[in-house]
Amino acid sequence: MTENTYYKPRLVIGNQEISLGMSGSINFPGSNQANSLKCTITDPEFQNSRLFNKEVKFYLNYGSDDGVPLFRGFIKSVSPQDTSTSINAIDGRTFVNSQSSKMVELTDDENYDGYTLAAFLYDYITDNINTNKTYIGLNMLKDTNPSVSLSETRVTPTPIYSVVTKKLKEAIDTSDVENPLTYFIDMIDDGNSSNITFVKEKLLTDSPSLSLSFSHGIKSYKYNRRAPANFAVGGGASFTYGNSPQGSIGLPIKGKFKDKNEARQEIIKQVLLQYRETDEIDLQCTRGHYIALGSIVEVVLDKEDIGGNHRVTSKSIKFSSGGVNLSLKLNKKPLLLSEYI
Amino acid sequence: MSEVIKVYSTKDYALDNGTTGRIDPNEAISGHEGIISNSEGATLPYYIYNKYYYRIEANEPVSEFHIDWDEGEDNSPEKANIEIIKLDTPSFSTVTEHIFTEHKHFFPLIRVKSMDGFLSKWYTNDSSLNEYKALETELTAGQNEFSIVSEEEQSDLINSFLPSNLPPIGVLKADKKRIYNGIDNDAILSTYAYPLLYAYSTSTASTKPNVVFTIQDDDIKTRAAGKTGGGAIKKHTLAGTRIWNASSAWVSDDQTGDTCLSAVPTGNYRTIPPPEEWRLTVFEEIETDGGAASPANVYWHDGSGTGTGTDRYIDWFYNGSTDKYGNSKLRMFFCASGGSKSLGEKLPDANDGPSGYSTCQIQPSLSGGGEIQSDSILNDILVFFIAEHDAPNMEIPLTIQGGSITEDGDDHYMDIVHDAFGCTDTWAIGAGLQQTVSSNPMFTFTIQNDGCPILTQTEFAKKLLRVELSNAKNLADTDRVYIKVFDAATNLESYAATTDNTLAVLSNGNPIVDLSNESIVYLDGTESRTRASNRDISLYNFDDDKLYKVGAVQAADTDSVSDLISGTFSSTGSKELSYSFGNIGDTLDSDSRFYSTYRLPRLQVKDDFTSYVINEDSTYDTLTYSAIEHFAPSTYTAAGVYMPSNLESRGLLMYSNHNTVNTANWHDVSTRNLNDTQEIMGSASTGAEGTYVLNDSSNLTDHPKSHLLMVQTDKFDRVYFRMNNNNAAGGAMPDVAITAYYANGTTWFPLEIIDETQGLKTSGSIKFTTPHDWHKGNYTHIDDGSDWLGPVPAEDSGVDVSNLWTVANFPDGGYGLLISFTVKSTGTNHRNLKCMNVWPYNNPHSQLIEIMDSHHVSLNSIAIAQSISFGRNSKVISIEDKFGKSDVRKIGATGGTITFGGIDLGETDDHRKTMVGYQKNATPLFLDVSHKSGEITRFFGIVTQLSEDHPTGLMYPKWAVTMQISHILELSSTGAINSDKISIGGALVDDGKYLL
Repeated sequence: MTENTYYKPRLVIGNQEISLGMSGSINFPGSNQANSLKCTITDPEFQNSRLFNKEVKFYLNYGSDDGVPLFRGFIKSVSPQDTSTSINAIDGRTFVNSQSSKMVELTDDENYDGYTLAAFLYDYITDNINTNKTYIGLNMLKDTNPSVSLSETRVTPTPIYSVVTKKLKEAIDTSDVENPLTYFIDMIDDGNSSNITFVKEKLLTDSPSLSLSFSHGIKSYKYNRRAPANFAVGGGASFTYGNSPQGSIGLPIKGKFKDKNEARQEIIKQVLLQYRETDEIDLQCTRGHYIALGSIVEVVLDKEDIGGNHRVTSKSIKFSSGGVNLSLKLNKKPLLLSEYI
Repeated sequence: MSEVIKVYSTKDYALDNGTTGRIDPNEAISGHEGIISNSEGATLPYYIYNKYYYRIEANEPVSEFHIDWDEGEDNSPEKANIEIIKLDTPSFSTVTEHIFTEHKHFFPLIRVKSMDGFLSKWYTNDSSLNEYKALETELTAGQNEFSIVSEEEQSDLINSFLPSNLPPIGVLKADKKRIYNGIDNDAILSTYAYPLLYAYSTSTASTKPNVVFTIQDDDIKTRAAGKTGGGAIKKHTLAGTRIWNASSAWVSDDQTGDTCLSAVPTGNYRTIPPPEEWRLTVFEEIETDGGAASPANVYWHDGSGTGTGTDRYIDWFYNGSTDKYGNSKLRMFFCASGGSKSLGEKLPDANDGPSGYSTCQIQPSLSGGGEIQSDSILNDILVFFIAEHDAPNMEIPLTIQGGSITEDGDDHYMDIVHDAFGCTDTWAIGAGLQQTVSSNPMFTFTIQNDGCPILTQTEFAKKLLRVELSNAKNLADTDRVYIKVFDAATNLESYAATTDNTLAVLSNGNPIVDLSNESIVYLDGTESRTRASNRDISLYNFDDDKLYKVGAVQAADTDSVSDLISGTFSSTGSKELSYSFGNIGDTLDSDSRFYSTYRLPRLQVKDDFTSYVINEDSTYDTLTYSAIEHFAPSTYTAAGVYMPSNLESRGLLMYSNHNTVNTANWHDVSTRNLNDTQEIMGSASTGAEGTYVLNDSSNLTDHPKSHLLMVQTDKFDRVYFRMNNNNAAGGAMPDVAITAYYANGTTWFPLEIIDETQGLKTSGSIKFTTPHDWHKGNYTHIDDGSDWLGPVPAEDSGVDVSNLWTVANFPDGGYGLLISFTVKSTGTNHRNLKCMNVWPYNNPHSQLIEIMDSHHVSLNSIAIAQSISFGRNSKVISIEDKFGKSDVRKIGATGGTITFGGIDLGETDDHRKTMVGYQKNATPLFLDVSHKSGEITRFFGIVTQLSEDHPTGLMYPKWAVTMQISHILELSSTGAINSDKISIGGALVDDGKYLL
């Protein structure tokens, strides 16, 4: 490749760099789902290599060399063909998030009472996953605030990731009632391993990590706009927000509440969460390949009313010898507080 | 009774209930004992995200232990983080494990369930810092029958926990990783007092274009008023004749000088005044004095040296400077009696005067009648100064050209003239003149000419927003105009030099440079993370890799896990950067374009930890800055900084250069690597080889003579080389062959590498795939250690590797990488090479940014024999009604292509081959197309397709290209630029500008 080649992807499987032609996609689906890489290597003989569970590092090298891989995972399936070999790799969460992964059973005798979510992950992964090699890095693990306790949590044999994601819904920073912030799980590479961590959503008023416009990065866009719920009922209480200019849209609230007042407080939060992000935006971009989920993106579209700051909720990148296509989804995940209770 | 809760490092130790493996409580906070924390002398670290084992004891067999770890939102039953340990059989004790994830002071509450099923109270520490009001209102002294909480008040049997913080992690993201060179306003250093811009070029064009600057200026008045807001945005035009070519020295003075006419903003100059001159006048009364022993109005030094009584003297103030004795004042005494105190013997004596004064003594000359004449006193003073001002003992910080004594009627005076240009800020005289007893001044001292240049100041440059050539055809297509900056200083006396920092580069192939998006990288550090969930990132520090710190880029910090980046930490988590090439240090390729170079911005962050409480042992809880790369072998160890051993990092950077092959001359350059004024490899200047020269060889295939050894405790697979070469742009560079080896436990094993430094011509990286058998060891694991069989020995002269890459410095070993260089120079151009630092960058806090030359190569000399074809298109939407009428709305402009071709004549100037080269390398190009009106459209772009047609019948082959257009410029027939950069499909009206 010449010096001016803009994008020079590298795929490293184990300690071997794959210099053959390749194409594929990387998906960062968000919503606590594992990131994945699908790659087709134009060499059928590649199937003869030992591939299963091998570590895969993918460097996009878009513009310049990456210091850390854009994706690090482990090969979980191989599809040989007559002209090529396809692999599917999933990030380190593959070891904790499926029925075939290690599972945990929490009983009155064996449990993690007194552990927070991060402490639980740290302890379990250290003792059960990273026994001979670091599959899931823990160097960037940061707990939620407020912390979520596993006390009195009892489950039948379940992937620990399911336990964590379910409990994670309890972690909501409501220090600003009108801007409740939730947590999600992400993987961040430090050059040596991909580290699991909890990430709190950023405020939309935070400085954007990326500014996109038609002159700077946006190829095309589309969006869905939904009318948010403006009243809710549940727990013996109800709440109506504003004068309902978009029509009356209701939201049922379920849960156990100490009294009507507590129910009403939760109802208010849920309705305000509905108003937080009403536009779900799909962007095709030429910039932002390295942006992390949860980051704030400023969309500058003067003549459209989706301009402003939005959160990145998922990202996918397709690569081939023909180039790179980046798709960002902003605010795609309408947040319902009921999911977190 | 022993403590209710104890902390151990392992479960076995906890079950043993001994002192081994136990973390003892201490008084980390004054007045609060029973705190489990890191402390002086403790061998076991106590940190968050580390698992410890807690032994809890009861005073009778119990069936359950309950512990609220104080990690919940509060201690209420709904929100507390309570662990319930149910025992199969009642026991006095239990052991449980726990990991803290917050950085705060935890006060656990403990209760038990008796064998009969009764729950005890919650027991907790009685520290005043302990708060559990969500569980129960704070207790008063003594037990309360109805309370469910009991504070242990006697012996701190229930310890509290204060785990130390772990450092945050810097995560740096960039919105793009390849940018064009643009405007580097950081070149206007913050230390500059009066920065002015100028254009520099070695072009030999007979007519040079004007250079139009758009700058935000600033002025002295604003600064003097204590404001730093800067001035207005204005356009300044520099005549083409004022583009400096360094053929003559820069002239700072007068309205015709370079500073006035060639520097922007223009109009700043100084006028050279006559030399500074002072006049010392003595009054007539002295002249009429009757004799040396008792002149009427002069009272002589009485010899007491006390400075009292009838002492008479003049005090001379050297303002701002000191003499040989370190004094800033000179007291000149007058002595009437001759002989014993002659002038020559009485030079300034620090012992004679009051504090802060040097002294001297003058014995006035007497007339033939024994009378003192006023002009004779003056003459004596003058003679004294001229003779003694630079005498070894005196060294008065004033150079005196000379003077004269004048007797003009009643006026008798001496003029003292400074013999250098400029005002003597170093010598002010007169404040100490004493009075005669009659209260009339014996002397007056007046300034005749202060010698200060007369300054005419308009504005100085604060920020360059845009710069452009007025004409895109005057220069040769390979010429460059460098926009540079120098500090004229507040007195406008400083000069421009070709080594000044460069802000931007102009050429016909890039005649407009502005702060456009494609030349700016937006760095974002807000994805950085703390480890403790109750901490946030509070401060950021970006190292922009511009070598403008003129000193340390990072320095050791014995309270952190690594060095600290120099400069100020800021609460702003993002930064915009742009870079420029310069006329020194960057290298041109065969197309007269600069080779792409690289920069490695890095980030360090600090969390908001100060001191959680009044922690007297805070030195054991100091990890508040994120880690960065370093090459210190023994600074950042658990023993040295007090941190968990898994955070230890060690490194070593050594360089060997010996003019004899297979011979070592090792230097430890670990410290030099931290300073952006000290090279670690290469020559400091072209004038001499220097200590760290990359040695020259006769052939590029010769055995390498220069070697760089890197050792790190973690694996790495890419190393960034920050070059700051000494060559002038266009100057020849040496050829460099680079090879690499890794330590596999027995020898230096060859390593396949990718070199992006163009053989050290540019900054860039050397990459490799991490070897599967890379051995983590020390120097003895290369052959037999003392006798390396690799390309260089471990020891010969200089600092031996065997003294540094040792077990002592690397107890767990290190990953060694050896990079060797063979340099083949022409003449002495190997001295052009200079490497300032190297860094591994496989980490999340660095981003490698490529900087591409925005200069486009001219195609105007290519013989074109086919039609030049292009189209101009708009983006429109057409809204058609049911009657077929349309509302056509333009929503934008489209780019496009231009096609043309030529004949393959295969002559000396093989244009087909040239075009193929451009296509292969994606070289940015421009082509002028003249219209019938004489106006010119200049197309900028890249050849994306080239086809060749080889017809039969011995006809000449043809070639044709498709060039994708990036933008165009519209020029007049003479080359004057009439448009901004616009797309081929038309201009945008809402494109942002700083000055409309």
